[in-house]
Amino acid sequence: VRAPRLRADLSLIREGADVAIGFGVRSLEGLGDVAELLHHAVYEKGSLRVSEDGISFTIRNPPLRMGAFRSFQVAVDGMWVPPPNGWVHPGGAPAALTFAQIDRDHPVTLPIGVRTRFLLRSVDRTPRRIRVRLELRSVAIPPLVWYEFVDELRPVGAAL
Amino acid sequence: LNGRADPPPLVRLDHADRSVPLLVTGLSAAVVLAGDGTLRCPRETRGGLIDWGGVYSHGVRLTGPWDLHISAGGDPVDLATTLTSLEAWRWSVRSRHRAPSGLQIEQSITPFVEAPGVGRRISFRNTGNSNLRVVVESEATPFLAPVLVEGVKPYEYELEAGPEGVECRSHGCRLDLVSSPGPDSRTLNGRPWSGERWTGEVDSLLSRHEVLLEPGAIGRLDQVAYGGVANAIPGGRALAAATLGTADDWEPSARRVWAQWIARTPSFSFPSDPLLESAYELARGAVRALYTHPDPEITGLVAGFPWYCSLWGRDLAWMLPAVLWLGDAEWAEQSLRTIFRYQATHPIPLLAAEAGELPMQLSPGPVFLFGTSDTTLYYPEVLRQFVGHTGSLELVQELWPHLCEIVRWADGKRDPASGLFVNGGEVLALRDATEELGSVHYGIDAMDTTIWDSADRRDHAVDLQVLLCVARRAILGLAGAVGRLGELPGSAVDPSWIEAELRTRYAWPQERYLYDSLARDGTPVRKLRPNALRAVSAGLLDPAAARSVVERALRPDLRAPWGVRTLSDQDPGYDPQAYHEGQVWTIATAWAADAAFAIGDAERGTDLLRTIATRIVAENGLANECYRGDRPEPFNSCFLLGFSVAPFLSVLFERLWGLTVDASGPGLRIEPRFPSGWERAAVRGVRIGPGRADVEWTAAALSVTWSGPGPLEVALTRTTGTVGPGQTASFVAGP
Repeated sequence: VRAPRLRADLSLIREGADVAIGFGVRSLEGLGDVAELLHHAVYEKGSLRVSEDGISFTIRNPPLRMGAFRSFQVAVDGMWVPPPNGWVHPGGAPAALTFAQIDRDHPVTLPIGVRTRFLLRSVDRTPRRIRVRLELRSVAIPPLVWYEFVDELRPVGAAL
Repeated sequence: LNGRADPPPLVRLDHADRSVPLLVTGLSAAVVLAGDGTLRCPRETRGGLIDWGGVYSHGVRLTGPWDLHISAGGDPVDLATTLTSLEAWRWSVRSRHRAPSGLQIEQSITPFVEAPGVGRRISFRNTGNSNLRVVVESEATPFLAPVLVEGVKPYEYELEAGPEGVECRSHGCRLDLVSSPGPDSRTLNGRPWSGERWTGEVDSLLSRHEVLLEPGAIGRLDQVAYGGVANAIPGGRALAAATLGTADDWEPSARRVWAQWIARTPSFSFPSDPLLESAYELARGAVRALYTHPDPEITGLVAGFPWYCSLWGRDLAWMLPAVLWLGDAEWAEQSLRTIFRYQATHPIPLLAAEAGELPMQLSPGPVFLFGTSDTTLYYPEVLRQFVGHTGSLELVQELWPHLCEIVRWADGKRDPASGLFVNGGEVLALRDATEELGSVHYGIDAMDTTIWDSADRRDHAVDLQVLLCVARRAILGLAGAVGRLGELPGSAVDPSWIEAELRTRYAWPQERYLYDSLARDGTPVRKLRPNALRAVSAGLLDPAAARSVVERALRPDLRAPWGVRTLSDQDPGYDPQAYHEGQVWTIATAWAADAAFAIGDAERGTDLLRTIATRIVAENGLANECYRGDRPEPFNSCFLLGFSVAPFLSVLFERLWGLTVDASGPGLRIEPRFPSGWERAAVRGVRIGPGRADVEWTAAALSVTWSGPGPLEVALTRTTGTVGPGQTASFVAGP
């Protein structure tokens, strides 16, 4: 398990060095700032929680693509959540919608810099480390946008 | 302009109109606002509503909407509802407001000429008969994210305030907010804040200013938002504060710089077509509004506003020919140096870079990304045009190793079996490079990165083959000019075999058009897109085939009354609101105009130029990126995109006027293609090396006036001649 990770890390160091040598340390610093922003600005770390009837998590910004989306899909450890069991509540919106209610004529806009909460019902609520994959389709630009994170699924009331 | 009255503004309003976007730019900073005098600008964006109002600098959005909450005598004064006049120029916006209490307000918003900041001056006058207490609460919420990171706002900031103002940082970006006079108090997230160091979320940052105005008295508040990429900002908060000392000169100096630039650029006279003449002037200013020089290492033009305000290699390549026609060879030269400085010297998978590739995006930091199939191929031809306009080969000599790297890169992108250029897979390589890293992964499943980078046009898009031909021609020409033909690597040789492929394997007999692409196995991709028009413009088709391609492209399924679609509306995959699968793009309309002129069809070429001109005039000198495919309504569109205006300018010079310059002679070829009914036209101030040429045309005669140091060789379609320095020569116009 560690070998690919180690290889990737070494590759990252080598490429970072290449950037610094070729384009200057400022470039490396600038690229690092952008990478860190992207890494931290979407999924709110620690927000993956067991809720009354499923699990929930929060994003603070739309992932990579802004604007309105005509479809949402979420997979937990590779298992797709049926659209009627997936809910999204964008910050500032009056109510949550199920993924099944969202389509091209009824898209959902993910606000920038505002919390959007996802609730996934009827999924395994056992606290553990899980991988969540979010797939979105914009109403304006066809290619699928995806976002994956790994975090501990924490029980209700657990400290971060 | 120099010392004279203000020229007509781009926008003049006598009432608030929030639907009108306004953009004012300096070389580092910009401000986006609306026609109601507020720094708010809600726009449909990728199908959702996003407010783009605020201050930008260094490719960083510094602030969200920047609101002023004003009260006079305890009554609120809303800037929008009290607006009595608003005038917007390229360098500044001025609005006037009158409140029932007798308070008059004049607001002036000006990005600094070079410094990374925007000045906002508010002047108050009490026109009443009694004292008036005026309170201004200025609320500029930090944003601090590079615009290239689409739709992401940080949620943790570091703040600190002192006598000079507030300093705010996040993820390598910085914002300074200063004012004169300083505020009476501040609040942070609604609570009083004395300026102590603070880290966390920022929902509101507000400074409160209070003044008592006697009858007839005038008060003033000068504010500056200053910042960008922290490591590229000289001075910091003290320098931001120093800008307040020059507040009286903010607007005059910005105006002066614009006046000087306009005076150096060519002017057109089209008595037979005032619309085209007006649109030229607006498009010229729009291109200048995109100039950027945020730090010593970066010079160029940002791609557009509001969300593409960083350097994009592809967009820059489409703009530089127009910059050369506008006489700004020095700006073009520095722009070329900038883009070549960031050529990848070896593969960098994390940035999707191959050796020899030129960057897709470049922002101060500097931060750059690669991963397009077309960007690199544009630059040899741009460099060839630079040589034509300047006569100088020094830059070619300097960039020669880089050109050789482009040849090697392009060779590596060719299919070993067919020899055709391969597009696709660029972003997948980036995903492979990052999949083992970290606990967060993200991506867009874009299979392809041609100019229509959300469309899958694999594997051999027609316009990429055209670009390869044009690039190789340019490299061969440049190599010959500097005597280095023998040093060219790989197969940088005769591109004529690709031309033959375009005429045969890409021929689409049923449509009398060209296939949009070929799969690796040779299967044609039967999508009707405007990209095939590039083969006509490049002169790669015989006259009959070229004519049939233009004829087909101008049928109503592709050519809408407001421009040319990216995909025929008869295609099963057509979607009128899909970015590259049906929307109208102005650059495609410019391609169609260019191709129509290339086959000698001046009527339709001019008609297409007028289509673009109509949009530019209607949009007050801005030019949308794209429109819905089913109605003339911008959708998912930056309100100004450089390649919606620059190609329009290039077609005016190169096709309508038929100008070709060779500064090495110097020489000027003039083959105008004006539509029937035109009686006269003039262009003044075309820069050719060290001199400038004026050309006046009538149906019967053509005269050329030359200001250069030596004689100018002039070539018309059927005659040639010479114009001496300071002389005017006349020629029979002829066909």
